[in-house]
Amino acid sequence: MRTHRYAVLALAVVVGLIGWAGPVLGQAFPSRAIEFVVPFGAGGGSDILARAIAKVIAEEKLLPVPLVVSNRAGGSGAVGWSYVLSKKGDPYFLTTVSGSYWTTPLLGLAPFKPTDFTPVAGIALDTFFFVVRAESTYRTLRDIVEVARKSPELITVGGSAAASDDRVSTALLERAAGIKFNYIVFGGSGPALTNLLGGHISTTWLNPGEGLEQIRAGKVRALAVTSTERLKAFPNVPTFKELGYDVVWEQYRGVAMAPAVPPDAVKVMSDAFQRMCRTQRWQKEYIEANLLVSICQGPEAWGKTIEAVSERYVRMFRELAIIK
Amino acid sequence: MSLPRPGRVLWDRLAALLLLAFAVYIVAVARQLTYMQGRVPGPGFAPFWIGVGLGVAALAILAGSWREARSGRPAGVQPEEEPLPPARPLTLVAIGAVTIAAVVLIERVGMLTALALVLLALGRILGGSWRAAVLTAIGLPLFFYLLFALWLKVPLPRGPWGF
Amino acid sequence: METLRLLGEGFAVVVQPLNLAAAVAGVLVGQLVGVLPGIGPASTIAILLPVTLSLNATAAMIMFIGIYYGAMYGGTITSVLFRIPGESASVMTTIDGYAMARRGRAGPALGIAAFGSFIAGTLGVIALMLLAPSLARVALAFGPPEYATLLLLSLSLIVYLTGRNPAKGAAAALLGLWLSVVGVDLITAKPRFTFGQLNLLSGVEFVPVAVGLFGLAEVLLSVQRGAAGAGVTADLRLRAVLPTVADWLASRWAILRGTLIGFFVGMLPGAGATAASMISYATEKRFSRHPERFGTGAIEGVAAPESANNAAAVGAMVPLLTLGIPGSATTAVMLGGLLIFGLRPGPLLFQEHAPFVWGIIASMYVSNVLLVLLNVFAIPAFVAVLRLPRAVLLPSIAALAIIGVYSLENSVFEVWMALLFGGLGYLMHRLEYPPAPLVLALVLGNTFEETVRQSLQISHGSLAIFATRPLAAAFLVLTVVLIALPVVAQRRQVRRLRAVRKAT
Repeated sequence: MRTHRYAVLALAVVVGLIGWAGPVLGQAFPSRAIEFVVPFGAGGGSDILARAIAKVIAEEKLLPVPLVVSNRAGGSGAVGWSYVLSKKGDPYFLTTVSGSYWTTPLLGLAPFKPTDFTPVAGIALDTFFFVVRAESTYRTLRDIVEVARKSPELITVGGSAAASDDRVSTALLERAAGIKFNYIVFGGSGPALTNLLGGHISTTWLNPGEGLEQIRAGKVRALAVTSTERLKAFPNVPTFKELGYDVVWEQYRGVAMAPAVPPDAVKVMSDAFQRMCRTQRWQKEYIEANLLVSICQGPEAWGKTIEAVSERYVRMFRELAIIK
Repeated sequence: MSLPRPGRVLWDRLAALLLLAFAVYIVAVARQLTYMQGRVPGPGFAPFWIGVGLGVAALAILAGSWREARSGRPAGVQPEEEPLPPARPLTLVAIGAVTIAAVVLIERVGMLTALALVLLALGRILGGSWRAAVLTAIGLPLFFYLLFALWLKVPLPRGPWGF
Repeated sequence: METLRLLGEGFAVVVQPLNLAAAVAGVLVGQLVGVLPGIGPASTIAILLPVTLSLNATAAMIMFIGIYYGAMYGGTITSVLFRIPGESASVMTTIDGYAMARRGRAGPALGIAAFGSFIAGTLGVIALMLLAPSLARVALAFGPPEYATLLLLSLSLIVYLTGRNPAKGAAAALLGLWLSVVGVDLITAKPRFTFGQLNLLSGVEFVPVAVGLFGLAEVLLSVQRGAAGAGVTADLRLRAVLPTVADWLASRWAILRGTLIGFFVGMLPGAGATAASMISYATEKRFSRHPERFGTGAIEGVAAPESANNAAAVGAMVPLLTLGIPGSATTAVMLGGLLIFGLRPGPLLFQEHAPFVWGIIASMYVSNVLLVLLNVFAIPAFVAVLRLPRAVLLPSIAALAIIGVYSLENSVFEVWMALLFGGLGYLMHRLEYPPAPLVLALVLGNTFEETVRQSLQISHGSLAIFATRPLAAAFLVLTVVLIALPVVAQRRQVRRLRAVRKAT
């Protein structure tokens, strides 16, 4: 009797241990929820991307487990990405990649390099409109360049950060036209846009998604776009290139995992992303809703993009004397 | 009215001296930052003047405490609240120590276990019964688990036992 | 007339069962989330996005509105009962709300907060409904110089919060200003005072500071006070816990002024409900005939900030609905949610999606009614919590503070910050340094610095930009008047006191 009871107890312990250690001991990836770290607060571009991904992946049943979005904001992404960095080898952490992923470490504000993480998928790219408000006397880019030539630093350009895509685009235009703007940082494109609409600054940069409604309502005019070709949704907005200024700048969005993740786990994730990218739902709810260009890059191509973009930022920041 | 207790003036001056030292630190760091960028204030401008202001305030507090001591009555008008009973330093230190220990433990034993420990220890320190302390230590973390972890999906730190 | 017709159509939208259910669910969730420190309306809406996506855009937005308003109502409860601000916009409520609770008047404090919120919310929606387009123009008139001078005016109100030793008040305010510049400088991307901490790069978070300075410090002080401190009403019947006629008389103007300030400040992108509640509290103290009552349980000190934060939540909808620009984190999340539905708010929203917009406006009225009922009838239950034995209540408050602050950024660092400021808050109280100037300066400080620098960048360094723009100049004049008056008044008071002392 007594031995019997011990045997049951022992069995229970063993079963319990297996149940507990099961996920670690060779169950197929993924066997539990994956934490999708957004290194920014709720409501930002990265947050919207992550939540759209989590939604489409769940609705299209592309992964057997949910992606649980967690916002770990702070230090222009430094906090969230450092957190994922510390999960080396653990495939249960996914994070978003966006502009700050390159700029924050470049500014010496984060203990990682963009190439430290495991690339999973390049998702979309975004471009920038150079806009003035409807009441502005500047009708074309040429008007602005001429005024800026005569009086340097007269034309104010609103931007979201001191070292960001808007700053780089501004610098590219300054260099291409041989002029000097008065660049003013507003901490976000929302405040920059209100200041533009209120007539407190002359120009600013907007993503097509941010600008669409304003342009449609006739509140702002887009003078040029930083893409290589005209955007389908805005056939009337010329590129800088056609206007004779070598200003091409794109903003990439994608996802990455912690460093040194097992290759089979990367494959599972990247397969899911490749399939997601091709669903109607994804194209409609994220790409079209935000007027982006879908790129659908797999791990290898995305890794190369990350490196290439990294080099572009280094070059531009050196030129701007933001870094040495 | 409540005259300053003997130690009060001393503490007051000590705090003011600490503030003064901190003001010096702020100014010192601010001077490493750019004060003016062209014609526009740089990142060092505001901290510099904040430090200077804090220093002046600290000196004013010192001077006030001097006046207060000499005139034998508190500067200004009326104290805002009834005086506190004398501190029970041991209880306060114990509470502080328990809380700090629990926060250290959050990432080792998990958020819920750490909170259970806080509830248990503080409940006992504050003179509650074992029964009440244990009940709170089990009930509240359970409630938090349902609310934060299950429903609001906050990724709470977990201990080696899975919660 | 046209407005009334549209509003009628809006109500027709709201009373559809699905939309009504969304409103009820929203206010319940918002209320709960408002009670928890840390998790705010922005993160709640983000968390619930997947749930709302099974609805349509209108129902989802109605739910978001319910959450937003619910959080503004709910933030009051822990502020009054435990001195833990449930939302950052409820910090000012802790001062007099908690003082009232300690005198056994938690009920009237919660009651006036609920009614004040209701009045402010409703007046705010009326203003939004009738004036939205012209209000949008006001919001656009605010460039960096206008912000800078408005913030200067707001910061100068600290003079009224300093307590009995102005030097100590000034020191607290300067510490707050210093805390506000910690982090990466917006204009140059250079880190300042970050002590090598990644978590400090984005600056000092407000919630852990407030929870520590007010809530955790209060736990320590309650321990020290012993059993004597607790004030509990014996009678928990609804009639006994509601505000009295005297309470109403004392707070009627506070509610109206709070509404006005809240709506206006909330409408300005980037200013927000927290700033609005602080400015209205300080203004109330400034205009009070008995400013000395503030901090000891003045009901106006609860009515004003609570009305202001609700009006601000309505005001924040103005730039979103009229311009398509989110002015706060919460409205930014709402915008993100609407994008997923393929609905993109912009300047044409009112024309092109009238039923949607008016449905939302009508839902604001409905949410307010639901919330005032919910909050008033729940007061006895809330107050009953104070009857728990101290050895259960105080540890529970500490635990709530810890998990709440953690959930803000999912980070133990913020918990450490809260503990640090808990200790500091205790010391400040013992040494009679007032905490209110510190938090006000922390909220407004860095925006003030940024807008001053932006202004000077625009004017190429010329200070004239603050004097030549009419709005900015008006704020400057007001600031001078507000600073000059108390100095004169204080001189007079001191002289009077001396005379009294000599006489006795």
